[in-house]
Amino acid sequence: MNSLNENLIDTLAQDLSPVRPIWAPGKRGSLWLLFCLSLSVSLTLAYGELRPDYQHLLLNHPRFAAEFLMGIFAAIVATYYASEMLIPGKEWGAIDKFLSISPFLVFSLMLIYSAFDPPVTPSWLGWRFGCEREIAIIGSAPMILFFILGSRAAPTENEWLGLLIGIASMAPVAALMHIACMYDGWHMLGFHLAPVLIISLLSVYLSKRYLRL
Amino acid sequence: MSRKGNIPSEAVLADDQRWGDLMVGAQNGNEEDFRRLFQEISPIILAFCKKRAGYLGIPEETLQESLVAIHRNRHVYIPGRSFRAWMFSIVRTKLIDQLRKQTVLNKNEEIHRKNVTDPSFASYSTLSGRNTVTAKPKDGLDPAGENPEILTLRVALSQLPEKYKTVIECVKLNGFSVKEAATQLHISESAAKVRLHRGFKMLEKKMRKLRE
Repeated sequence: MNSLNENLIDTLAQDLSPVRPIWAPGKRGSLWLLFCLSLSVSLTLAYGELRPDYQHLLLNHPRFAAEFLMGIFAAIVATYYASEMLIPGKEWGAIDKFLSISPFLVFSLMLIYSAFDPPVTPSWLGWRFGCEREIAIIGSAPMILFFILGSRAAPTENEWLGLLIGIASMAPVAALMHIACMYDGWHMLGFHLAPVLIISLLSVYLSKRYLRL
Repeated sequence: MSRKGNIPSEAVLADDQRWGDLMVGAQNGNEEDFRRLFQEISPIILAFCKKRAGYLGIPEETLQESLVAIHRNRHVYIPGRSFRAWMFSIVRTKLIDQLRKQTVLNKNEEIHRKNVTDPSFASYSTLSGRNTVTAKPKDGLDPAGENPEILTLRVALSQLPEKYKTVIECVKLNGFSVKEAATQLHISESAAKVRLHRGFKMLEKKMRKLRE
């Protein structure tokens, strides 16, 4: 080994304070998801009431319930993959990346389909003023936390990680709007799904810029 | 599984285990473990970078960047996981960063523009690991301003089969003895000598062909 590298190792050895390994991705991701879901539910309830007929809709309209659950599932899957991506070691191929967003793609396709063939009769019942801003604001707190976690890790797939952070943070609130806001296919596309997509793209940019190895 | 889906050898697994243990020691502030780990992985990282981008002259810089990144992110290694995969993930990222930086630098150089537009210059595929070097420079000057003989040597070396190229790089470029190279490559000393001998013969033939 040449002297330059020996000198470098000597220099690095001078700063060798003990460090505690970060938590395993599963533990980190689970705790973050718990925080995200708890915050999303509590702030959604704090901002306004749920639809008066949400229980009836969930129990009697399977597609409605499936859309709601798919939104939550999209957040769970995105959280799992995003947590794993914080740690170097795995090569993320096209299949892994596709799997990481596939529940969100299904959720989106379900909402698009429902715009043309809604599972329940569209109405203004339960309409919440500023639901799109509510999604962005409520989802931003867990998103910032994930970025903080990411800054203390060593991600190697910045852009995809950013996309997953956006989905994981925003999708729960978007799903909650199913039972907290009016049901109309086009309203959900424009005011519930669109904020998730926009914030996720912003998250890609932020991740590329700030979460560097 | 390794990147190409091959099952790693016992020696590779043993290295992985040992490096993982040394990394745990380094996380605990053990200087001896830290030094031993970095001294063992440095030639591995350097060989990895040379294989993929040796022509561009950035392996040393990538090695240093990688060592710094590994040191700075030692808290991110989770004990029990594959150290080798963790390390190479960092090295690949740093190599890509260096290649991008090199591309940005080269964009402003007249020689680089000539590379892109002049079909007589060789193209070199680095990240794919497949060497596609076929032509020699047109006017006696190579893009890096190197001696044409050295360029010919680099090109010929890149065309050798992996097992011969690695042993020549270990002995002639990295300065290891044949015995040390054999240890690094997990082969016997006699196998290393045979590969070296055959590798030089092949290298000689390829260089003769490239000069024609």
